Parts: sequence; C-alpha cells; structure tokens
Amino acid sequence: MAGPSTGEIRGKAVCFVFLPGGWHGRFLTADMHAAAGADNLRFGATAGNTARVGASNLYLDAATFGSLTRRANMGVLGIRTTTADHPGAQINMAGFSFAELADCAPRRLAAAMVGQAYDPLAHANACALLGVHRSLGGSQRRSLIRELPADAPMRDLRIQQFSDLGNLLGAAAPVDDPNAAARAAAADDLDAAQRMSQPVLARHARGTTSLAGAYDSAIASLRAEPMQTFTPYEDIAPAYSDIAINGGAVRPADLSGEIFHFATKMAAAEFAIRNCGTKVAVVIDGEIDGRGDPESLDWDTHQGITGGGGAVSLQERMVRRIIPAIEAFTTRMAASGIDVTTVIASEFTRGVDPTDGPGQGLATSSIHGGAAVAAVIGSAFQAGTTAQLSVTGRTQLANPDGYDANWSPLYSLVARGVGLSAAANPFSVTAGRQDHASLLA
Amino acid sequence: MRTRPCPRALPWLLLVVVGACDVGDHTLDPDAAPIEPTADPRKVGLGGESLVADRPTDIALGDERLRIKPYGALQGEYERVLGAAPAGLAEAASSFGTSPPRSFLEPSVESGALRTAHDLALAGCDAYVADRAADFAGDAADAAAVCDELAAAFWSRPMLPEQRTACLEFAASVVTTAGDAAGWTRVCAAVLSSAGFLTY
Repeated sequence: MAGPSTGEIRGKAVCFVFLPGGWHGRFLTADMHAAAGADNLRFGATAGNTARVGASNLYLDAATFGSLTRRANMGVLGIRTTTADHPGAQINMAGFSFAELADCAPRRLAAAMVGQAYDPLAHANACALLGVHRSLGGSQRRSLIRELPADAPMRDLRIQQFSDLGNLLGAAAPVDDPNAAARAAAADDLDAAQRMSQPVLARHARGTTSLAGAYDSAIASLRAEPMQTFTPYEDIAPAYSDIAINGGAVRPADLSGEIFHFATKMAAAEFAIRNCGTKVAVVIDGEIDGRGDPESLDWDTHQGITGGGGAVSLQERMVRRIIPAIEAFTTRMAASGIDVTTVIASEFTRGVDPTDGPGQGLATSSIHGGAAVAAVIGSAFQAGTTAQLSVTGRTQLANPDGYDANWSPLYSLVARGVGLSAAANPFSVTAGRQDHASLLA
Repeated sequence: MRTRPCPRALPWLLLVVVGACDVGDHTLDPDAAPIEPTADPRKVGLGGESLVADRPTDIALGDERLRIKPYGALQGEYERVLGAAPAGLAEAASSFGTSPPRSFLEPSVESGALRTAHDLALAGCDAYVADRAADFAGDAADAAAVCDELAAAFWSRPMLPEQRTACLEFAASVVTTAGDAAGWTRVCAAVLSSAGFLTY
C-alpha cells in the first residue's frame, strides 16, 4: 500500500469468485435450457423457474441468480473453451494458471489497476486470495491451488494468500492505529530476521520459497500507510452469518480462525477490499478436507442440477450457501462507496451425458461442456448476455468461431468496466470476435 | 573404506542379512563428483526404469535440504529452545495452517503466519531474556557473544559471517543501554523469527 500511483484506478475493486468443477449453465442461461425442453435436455429449466431481467435478453434461474438484488447490473458472458478437462480448462482460463505466471490474470489485472507505480512488494495485498484451499482425491477433485508446482516462485506470483482471519486482520492498519509503533518495530525485527535468513533462503530456495515471500510481504504490510478509512471485521461479519451450510449455519462464532466456509471467504474479501488495499480479491469455493461440510465439495458431481452427490442438490447448494453470500457481498459493497465488480465463474458449463440415453439426462448425470459462462456484477454493467448456447449434448456456443478462446475476453471486459484505458488494459480481444461490449452500461 | 558384499546365493536370506551389511559411510564428501543420474546400474527399478533419471544434477551437495517447520513441529520447538511455550502458541494453529486428517500438505508460511511467529518470538523472548539477565547484562558492544549464543540455542548451528553482521547491526540499533531488556528481547525475537529456526 504505497502512495498514489500514476494511472491508478482508485475507489474500485474486483472480486473474482470461482466455483471449481464446472457448474450448470442453467443458472445463468435459463432460457436456453428451457428452450431445449422438447428433447428433454434442459436440466430442469422451465418457464416457471426462469426469470427475465427487465426487458433485457438475460434470463436467469429464478431461485438463484434471478434473486440477486443487483441483477439489473449483471452481464453474462459466453466463453469458448478449448478443452473440457479440469486442469486444462483451469489453466486455459489464465486467471488461475499458477504454472503460467505470465497469464496469472488476477495479478495482472491488479497490477494494471495499481498503475505505473506497481511494485510487487509495496503492493503486496493488491491481489489477495482469501481462504484455505486444500483438496484431496484424484484429478477430478484437484484444487486450483494444487496446480501450483512445488517449487513455483511464490515471490514472483505476488498473490497474497490469507487462509486465517487473524492473519488477514493483522494486514490492515486502522486509522490512528494505536499499535503503529509496534508495527514499525515488528517490521524492523523481521527485516533483521530476513537478513539473517538470506544464506539459508538462498541455499535452500526450493523448500523455503514461501518463507522468503512471507518476509517481503509481512515487512511491506507492516510498513504500509494506514488506510484512510477502516471498517472493523466485527462490523462485516454479521452480514455473512446465519448462511446455511449442511447440517447448520455459519454463525458469528464461526467467523474467526481459518477462512474455510464460502461465506467467510466472502466476508474476508470484503475486509480485504475495504481495509487492505486489495484491488483484486480471489475467492475459490469447493474444498474437501474431512471436516464434515459436504456442501463444500466442488461442483464436479456429474449430477443433474437437482442431483448433487449427496443429500443437498446442486441447486439447493447454490440457493443456501452461495447466493446469500454473493447477495450480502454485492449489496454491501454497492453501499460502501467502493465500486466493486464481482465476477462469478466456473471452468465450463455442463452437458448431457449421452450414455444416459434419451430422456434420462435431466437430473441424473451430466458431462463436461464445451463452453463456459461467467457473470459480472457491478455498476459498469447492465443486464444482458452474450452467451448463445446450444444445450443439446455437450453444451457449447452456437457460434464458437465468433468468440476468442478462453478467458481473456472476460478479463478484458472487467478491465474496461473498472475504467482501464485500452493502453492500460493487459487483456485483449481479437478484432472481429465477440468483445462483450453490449454488457457495459 | 572396506565393504563386505551382501550374500546373493540365498535371496530369501537377504532380508535377514541385509541389516548386517556394511553399506558404506554416509558422510557427505563435499568434493565428491556429482552422480550421473542414469549411469548408476544399481538404481534401476521394476521395468528397467531408472529411479534417478529425474534427479536434479544442478544442486550442490548439501543444498536444497531444508523445509518449513509445520505447526506441529513448532509446538515442541519453541518449548525446546526457550524452555517454555510462549503465550498464544496453543491458539496459533490456524495461523500456520495444518494438514487435513489423514493427509499431508507441504508446510508453507504466509506473511500473517510469519507475523504470528514474530509475536510468539517476542512473547517467548521476553521471558527468555528475563530469566537469563546475566547473559543480557551488556550493551550492544557485547552483541557478538549474545548473537552466537542465540544462534546456538535457536538454530543449533553457528552463525555465518553475514548472519552475524546482520545480528550485530540490528543489536546496535535497538540495544541502547547495558541490560536493555527490551532491546535484547527484540534481538532474540529476530533470531527466533529467522529461517535458522523456522526451517529444519
């Protein structure tokens, strides 16, 4: 959090929410799924559960995205994917290809928003990943973070991860911080510790790379100028409380310690954007770690939308766990004075499993589709969609050649939405391809 | 070095006898030539695949051996080197992160965890310095002995010259008078927050 930077986008931020595994496009393109009713390949979409947003061409699943207060500021993008396997799709979306540092889109976006003075050390919190990300099981359940090679140079990634609320809260300096002197002293202590560590870190870099990055980030954070305004976490947490999880609800008491539940991650994103100088917050849902929250399974159940691989269907999971937290985040940020664009995506939409045979593809199973859809919510956007999906068989874009492959158009649109000029926008769309400009307000 | 070959005629005895075989001196020879990964016929696994073909060859002997201490290890380590667990250690698990049940995650350190480690170090060193007032009775001019003592206690290895220089310079900046407990506590905390302690 250094001083003002030339070209800095101030008063704006982006929150990128990713639901790993590949969700059902019906949530965001309900009309296209309903229209496929004749061949019984619609994943349960009907006119009765589909909501049109105003007079736009955007039709949402009524119980989920159609219920969001800010749906009039929601655009839906159709995205052409080039692979339907999870690692490939995640890598192709660039934003989370940690192995492809040059294409680490959230960091690139954050750097562009900071402006010309972007310094990975001074702006360590500019791109923040909120929450624990641990995944077990085979390739179908791989966490995006697991894509990170063991010896990846974390210091170069510059995505600040906060997996613990205590760590996050300590990264923010309140206005008139009574602990300012202690923070300065701690920075000097860690600076000395870092110098004493250099020979070890240099000789054993592969196993200690996270520690090397931690010295940089901690010292920069402790020496950062206090924010002009500060919102205590105690004022944020209640808005994300009582959001259902399997077998109970996230309660205020849960909003401490590890940042684990989706609602907690969203509360943490709000805190980071308000107080930590975060330009781009990243929240990833879908974790499995044996602590008894089956709804935290990823979205790759290969079920229909009313199935879920458990007692709670995918749609119910969306209704109970995801949408309330998105609603709280988007409405609170709209009232905060910070103009936040919220992006919600998954690596692809789902298609109908052809092995099910005619008439059996609705609720029982699904496969990886050949296209993706993403929602962008913010004051810079208006209701509309650029997704023209063919939802029979392996769901795909009706005119895939009209779209650039993968996720650059999404980030390009978001960059335009937050006010980056063409010259400062690190993402581009091929001339003549769908640029999604119709979604801009 | 003399070695005694393992018996080959009776493979079924191998498991019994192998424990008695002289498998050589494992002391690292810093001047030893690097082993060519594919040249050692003893390191061939089932199917004829070399077990060492992907072994890096650009790493000097003794390098790339240290890893981050996980929280589970730190719990005992703080108590071992300080003599008592610092206040707050028991509640710090989520700051450092823990592996899910029945699984292993390579430990890593976030910036917040490092700051928690520093908080623990300050708490532990406050008592450590108080309990050893005689050792910390001097001023910054006595820092060399103190730095060496702290490294021996916390790192179990002596400081390298550049590490000692860093320690001395820091002590000169924070230890203002003889017996400056607050200053020595910060020197102690810096040594305890360094990679010499946080890795093994």
